[in-house]
Amino acid sequence: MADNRAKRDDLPRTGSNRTTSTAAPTGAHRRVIERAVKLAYGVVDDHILQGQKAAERLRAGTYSSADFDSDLKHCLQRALDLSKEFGVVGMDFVDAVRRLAGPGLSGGSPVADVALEVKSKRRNQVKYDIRSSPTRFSPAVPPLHSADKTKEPLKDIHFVVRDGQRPVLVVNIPDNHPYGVYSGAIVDSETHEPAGFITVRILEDEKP
Amino acid sequence: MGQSRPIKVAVIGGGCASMAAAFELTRPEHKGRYQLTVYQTGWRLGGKGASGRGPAGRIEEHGLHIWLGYYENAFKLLRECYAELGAGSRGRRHVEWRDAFFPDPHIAVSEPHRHGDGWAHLTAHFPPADGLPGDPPTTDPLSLRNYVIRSAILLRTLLIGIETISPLDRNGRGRDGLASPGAIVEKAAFLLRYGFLATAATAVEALAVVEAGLRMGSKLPAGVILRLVEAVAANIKRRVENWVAADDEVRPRWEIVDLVLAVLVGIVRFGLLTNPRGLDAINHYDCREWLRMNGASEHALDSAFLRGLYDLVFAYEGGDPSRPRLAAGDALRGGFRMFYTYRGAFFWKMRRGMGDVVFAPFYQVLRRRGVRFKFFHRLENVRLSAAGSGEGGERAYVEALEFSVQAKVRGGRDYRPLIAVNGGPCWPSEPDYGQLENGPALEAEARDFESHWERARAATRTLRVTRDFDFVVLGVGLGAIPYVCKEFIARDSRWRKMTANVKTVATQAFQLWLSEDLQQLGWEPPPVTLSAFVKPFDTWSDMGQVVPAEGWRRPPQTIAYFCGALHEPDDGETTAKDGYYAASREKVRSNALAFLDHEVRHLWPKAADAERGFRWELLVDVGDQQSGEERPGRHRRGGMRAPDRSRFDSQFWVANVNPTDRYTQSIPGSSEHRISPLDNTYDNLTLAGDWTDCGLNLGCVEAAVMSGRLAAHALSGSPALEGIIGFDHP
Repeated sequence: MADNRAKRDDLPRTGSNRTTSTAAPTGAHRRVIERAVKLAYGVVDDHILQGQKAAERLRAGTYSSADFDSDLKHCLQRALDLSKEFGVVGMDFVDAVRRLAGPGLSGGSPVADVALEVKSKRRNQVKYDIRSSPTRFSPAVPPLHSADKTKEPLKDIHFVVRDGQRPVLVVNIPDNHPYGVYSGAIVDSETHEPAGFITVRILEDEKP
Repeated sequence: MGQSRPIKVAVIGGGCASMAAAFELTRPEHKGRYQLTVYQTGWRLGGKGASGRGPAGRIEEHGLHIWLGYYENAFKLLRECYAELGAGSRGRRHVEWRDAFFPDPHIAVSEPHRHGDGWAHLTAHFPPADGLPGDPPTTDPLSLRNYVIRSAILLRTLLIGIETISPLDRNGRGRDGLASPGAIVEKAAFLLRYGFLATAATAVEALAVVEAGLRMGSKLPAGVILRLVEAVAANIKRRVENWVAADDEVRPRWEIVDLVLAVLVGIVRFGLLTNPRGLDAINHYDCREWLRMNGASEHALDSAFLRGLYDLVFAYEGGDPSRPRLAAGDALRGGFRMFYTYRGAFFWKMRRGMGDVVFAPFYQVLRRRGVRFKFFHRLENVRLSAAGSGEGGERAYVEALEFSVQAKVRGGRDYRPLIAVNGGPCWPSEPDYGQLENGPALEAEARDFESHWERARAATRTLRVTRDFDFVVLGVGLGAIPYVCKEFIARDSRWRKMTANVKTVATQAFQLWLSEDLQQLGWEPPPVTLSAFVKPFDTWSDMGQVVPAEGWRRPPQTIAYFCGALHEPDDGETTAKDGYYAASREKVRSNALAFLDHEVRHLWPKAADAERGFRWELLVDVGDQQSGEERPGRHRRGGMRAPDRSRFDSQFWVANVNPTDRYTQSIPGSSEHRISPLDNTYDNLTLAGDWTDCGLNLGCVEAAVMSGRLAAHALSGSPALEGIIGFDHP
């Protein structure tokens, strides 16, 4: 009776394909990741420090409405700084992904190998991204601005390029410069086209 | 298959999975290639989702059914069904799917007050999301990377939208209107507390960037990134947890942050972003155990949010509240889909019974397409061919399907199952005995055609391969498999493992029709679906929206559904006995009475008090209305006597202990034993149900529909697997 029975076809697969992308990471990719994690550290520490200070004042009964206004302003400032910081990280990431896509799509080159020299007594963080080696063009850094227009720009940032040596990015931070995030472009001094970007973050000094 | 004659398909069972398979196999594109007959126990379709109309046209369900905003496959098919129904109505009134459902953004969980008696109810409002469930898919993939990024967004939503409702708030400790001299300082402190939480959210956002990078790499420096991610999470927790643990207002938000951080750490630690098994790789862990391994605090593990997740899927082995078990991978997949991929609204609630909204339209459309329905057919055995009997390595196959015919329809006609209530087609709660041979006698016996223990029958019937069917879609509930597939279990170790490891649980539910509205009962927030409440009825949903669909002379002010897992004895002997169903019903009744007297006041403070218990006069008794007595304060048999607990007998309750009614669980280590509808071990059989390996592997409508679509693919090659949304989910 069952000689001519219908049979199901065998199927190419019998289960879900749960595999995700397995593309190999690159050095640039890892650097972005590590920077993001370090940034998370910094942000968290900063937030918590601020909260602890306020909490201590609350417990000590020295917290006033004036403090509230000050804290609120500080919160807003930090929010602004944060959005800028994350914007930078986001750009880093997009750029790293773009490079991962390969030279045919990216049109760029790996991050240039540059040494960093920071001259400052202040606590700070410096992030930069340069798409071409400074040995191939004449890099310049216009003043770096803060989102807070009342703060003076950071002006003394330049490159030192000597034949046969690794280029050095020199960042000078004046001792009395207000804390905050300062950012801007790295440009080719001849064409004025952007060749990268830089962010300098001046952290609040730790109080004794 | 290579043959041109029509293929006869026997579909066993009329639940969501079977209806989905039938809908797919009878699409016009197949040009009538598949001729379907649906065989159904009793008088109605629906399986665990079956509902009926009882006295006063009231809706009587197996439990609480709410569709979630991520039920893409289920909504897609139902919307197509409604469109086809409307197109064929030739100008007659028909219901649009948007009329049958309405979006509900509110969800709530409960937790006992840490300082004294009572419970706090935490309500959250989930904002509308783009699109509607069942719309064409967006380009956004269901990826872990997206989920982790969405985690940050969810945290913000919760931080803004969650609201703690507790007596303390009502006594003036609210956030607004502070009038004390220290108000400004208090407000500042409040904002600073939120500052702490924003800290956590910010960190998570940073981790999302990390994750986005991790997703693209498979050979990261061993342990380096993990240590950093763990350190960030630990840093936040160490500094914040103790501070917020003592604050009832902030703590629930923190607990969610805590859980999300543990999930992120776990995703990195277990390499889930690149694991070819996706979230299945952690399915041998219990969800709580896995979160604990990844740093979740004990407070967070016992939080209302996590308990609510377990309650949602009845994740208590044997129905025992002390044995919560839920596979971590399945839980995360369901959680991610639920919170991050909903469209339109988080919940979609039905305006009528599930049978009316879902199974009546499917029945009507499938009938129009030529599908035949054979009611009162109980499957007794799926008979296999001799193992390896065929020449040329032919596989074993289903040789025959053996049924009990529970009742015969008069004149050999097809049974007409639907009735009309308020103009809409519905399923009755009892069969129409008038259509049955010996109908009056069957009615007098009160024969329960849906009971596993009811063995009386009018005849037997055996369907044979090629003569009566070519293919079989086995769409019965998992609980029935040991009874109807004995030959499979005896011969096939995979089937033995499946039935031994994939567990089911009995559930219990009751419905109340109330003469006062929620505000009068003392519930002040919006109508909600609430979970993580007192066992055994840990879940409550306000169902006031169905009142207009019922047929009351004097409508109740609202309707409440309660449900939960039903704790059963461990021994199989007790549950197999004839009297088990009646005993279980009595147990549910007893549970409900105790719950109303002692626990419901924590939800509805004005419905009961600690000394006198529940105000039984609140229950609307159908008997009062039918006898012309409409004063809800009078007992129908007791004259002017004050209503007592016996008034509960006028309400509706159910013990879902029938094997086919039991809920499919996702116990750790069980998913790997599920068998896929695509499996071709028996080459004229496919399986359909939320108990199969269908990609989602959770007990729900969406999993059932996915399984039904896979079953259709197994037989016809359509729909394409890529079109079954979520099947290829990590």
